[in-house]
Amino acid sequence: MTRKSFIQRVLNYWAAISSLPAVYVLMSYITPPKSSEISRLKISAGKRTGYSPGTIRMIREGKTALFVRETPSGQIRSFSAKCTHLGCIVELREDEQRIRCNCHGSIYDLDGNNIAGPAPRPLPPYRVEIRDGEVIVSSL
Amino acid sequence: MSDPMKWFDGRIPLRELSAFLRRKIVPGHGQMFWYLFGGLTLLFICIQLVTGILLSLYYQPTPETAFESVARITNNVNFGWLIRGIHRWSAHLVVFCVLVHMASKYFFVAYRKPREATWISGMMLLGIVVGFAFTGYLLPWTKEGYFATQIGIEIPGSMPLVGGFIARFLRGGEYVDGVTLTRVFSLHAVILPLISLAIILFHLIQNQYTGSALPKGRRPGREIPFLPDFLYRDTLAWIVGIMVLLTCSLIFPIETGLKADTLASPPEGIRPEWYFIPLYQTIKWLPAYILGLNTEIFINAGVGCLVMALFLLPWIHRTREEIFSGTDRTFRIIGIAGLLYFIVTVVYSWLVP
Repeated sequence: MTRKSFIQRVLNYWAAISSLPAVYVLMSYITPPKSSEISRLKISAGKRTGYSPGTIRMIREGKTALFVRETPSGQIRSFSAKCTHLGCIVELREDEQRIRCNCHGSIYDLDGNNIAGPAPRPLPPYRVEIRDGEVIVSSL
Repeated sequence: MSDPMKWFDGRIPLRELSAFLRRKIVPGHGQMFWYLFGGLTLLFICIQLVTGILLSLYYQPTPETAFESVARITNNVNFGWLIRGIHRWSAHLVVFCVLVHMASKYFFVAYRKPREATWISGMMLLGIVVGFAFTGYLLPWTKEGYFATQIGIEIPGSMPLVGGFIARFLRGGEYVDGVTLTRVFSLHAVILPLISLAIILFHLIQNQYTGSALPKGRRPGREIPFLPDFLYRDTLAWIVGIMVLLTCSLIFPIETGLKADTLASPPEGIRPEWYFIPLYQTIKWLPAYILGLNTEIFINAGVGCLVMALFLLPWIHRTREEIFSGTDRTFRIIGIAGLLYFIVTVVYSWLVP
């Protein structure tokens, strides 16, 4: 190896290595920071007295859409309105007593269990608490 | 100054370029019908560039203003409806022409040595055209565009390990929202055009260097001069292309649609643009799990393998030809099957919403 080609090679390596921080900065910049909104979810779903056995409501707040339902046994339950297949917002079909996703035809029952179509899982549940007569829904 | 060309002498090689074009000879098969689609693709890309610039004069990429600005272009700006219509219809025609162009090259086995780089750059351009279509669909901030983007990002997002990162990277966060819109606008109006211009240039230079491939099993025809014979026929095709584009834009103007409501259910019967229908219908037909694994894993793997196979096609073909001494019809059968699947899914999707 001649002195000239040696210096050339050193310069090439130096250029490659010195560009790494720039690549790192660029990649870090275009990668979005993590949002804490999902973990902070807490929604008021109205008065407990507003529900009766069989009632189901769709609540939309912020960037979250969810269902709150009083089961025939009188238990208040809540689950997401985001299809577990590819994330579309599902539609409540009260006349058919089911929940349907219009994107790819997944069907859930009124408890959020997937019963037909490509949805792989039931609609994810939320925690429900009754505070001062108010239904509070929050992340599990 | 008597001869304006004189000023360019020694500055810009216009005379040399003119002489080169006059000398240039094109093989006879370059006039075949299927070979016109490369030029048509270029025409529609140019139209996209011009109309895209015009639309950007009024378009505002925020969730609060995007839909309204597009509605304003359509309803208030002079000839805004026409410019938007041309942009949208031209997008359909770009995808159509690219697909026909690639399919013809596939069936003519035009990707063989020494045209591997032309094929690969063509594949890259196909990917970029699909990228343009995908990103452009969200920009008017309509219900259809919103959910199409949501689904389009969720598919790679369902991949194990890297999926979450890819989805967040594409969305610019956890949800499809204003950050996604500006990200997509930046991709659609700046990043993809720059990349595509570089690849188109490479594709054209490569085509100039190697020439158009002679379809397999066809004898070379009489050579013709590029100027005026070849250009004349290509110009005729361009005129027909422009007429089709204008007819579609005038007879079927693009509607404003409904503004995206991020927490509303998508309308019943929602479906993507025709070129995404095969993927959409496949997703719809497949069950939630295959062999105990999430179907989206298979979808991603299938699309990944297909893209990889198409990129490596020149080498895969050569290997098979060496084994079967050039008598193998596998690729033709696979191509016809793929084409039929495409047509069947599109027709089925329209007949059975």
